[in-house]
Amino acid sequence: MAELKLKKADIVLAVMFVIFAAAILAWSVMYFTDSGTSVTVTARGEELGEYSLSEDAVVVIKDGKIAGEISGDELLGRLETTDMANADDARAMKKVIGEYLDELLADDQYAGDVNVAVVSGGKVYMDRAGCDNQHCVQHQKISRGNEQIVCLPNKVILQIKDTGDSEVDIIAH
Amino acid sequence: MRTNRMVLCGVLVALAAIFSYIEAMIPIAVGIPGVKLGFANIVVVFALYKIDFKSALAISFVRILIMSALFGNPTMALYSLAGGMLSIFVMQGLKMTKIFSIFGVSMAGGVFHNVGQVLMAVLVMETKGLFAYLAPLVIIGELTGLFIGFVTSKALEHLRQLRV
Repeated sequence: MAELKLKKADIVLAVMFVIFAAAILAWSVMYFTDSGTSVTVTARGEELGEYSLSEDAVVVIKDGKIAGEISGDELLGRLETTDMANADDARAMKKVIGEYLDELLADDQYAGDVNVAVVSGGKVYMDRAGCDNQHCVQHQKISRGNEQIVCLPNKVILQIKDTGDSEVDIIAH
Repeated sequence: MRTNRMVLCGVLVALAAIFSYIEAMIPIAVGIPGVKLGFANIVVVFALYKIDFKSALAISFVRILIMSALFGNPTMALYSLAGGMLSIFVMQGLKMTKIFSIFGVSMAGGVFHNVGQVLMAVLVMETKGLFAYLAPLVIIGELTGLFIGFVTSKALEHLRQLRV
């Protein structure tokens, strides 16, 4: 069977795919702009809120709605965790957010449809989520315009809003 | 002959499901959603070359439904089907041109499986940013497709006397 052996056409096809991937990469470099100042939180197709990147905040989304939101300052102040010198310390953040969730949702915080978005130091990330695959939690922190973190199972999108200083065209929401 | 073929398809669906299950136990920490080896596609490509398109299509479809029903949810079925169906139709198309070998066909299968999934995600979430995932996913799809092609070609060689 001749079709079991590698042919030149296969190599051409492989190269074409690589070029396609490179084109997508080039597009994404341009698509993700440097003019992002706020992040929008969308759940189940509806925009729930927009938060400035310059103010630290924690937003809890449950069942497609905002279950609670708290500013960074309030979070640290209210819980009187004076042993944390630096709010950017990852472990300290985790602990403080955990305490907030205990207050806000008690045992419900472990439900599948929970997402916890954090704005800290001008970047946005998903601190924790109740989904199976945890891709949204593993995603690196985003900060550039149009960048987004998506939780497919929970249908939650955190998207940095592009202020339009670049030449990118309309973004479909 | 018809019964023989039907039994073979049944065995292949079960095999594809097992491959799928085993693969799910191997964690791939790449940080990109949707990265999988696609072992189950070995069975699909095998069926495509050994039996016919209709059987391969049925095997792929049934396997996805079973896995989604047993271990996933309707949403998982949607994305898997989008990727799986696009992939097999593209593979059959390329196979029919007779220009490509099994390697080219399964490479395209791997690529378009990912393309299908990203496309569905973009449609469902209504956001273009997800297209960015295509850059690494196309390359990964190519590599896994190459591997699938290799394994399947060996299987076809060794099972040449299998009556179908």
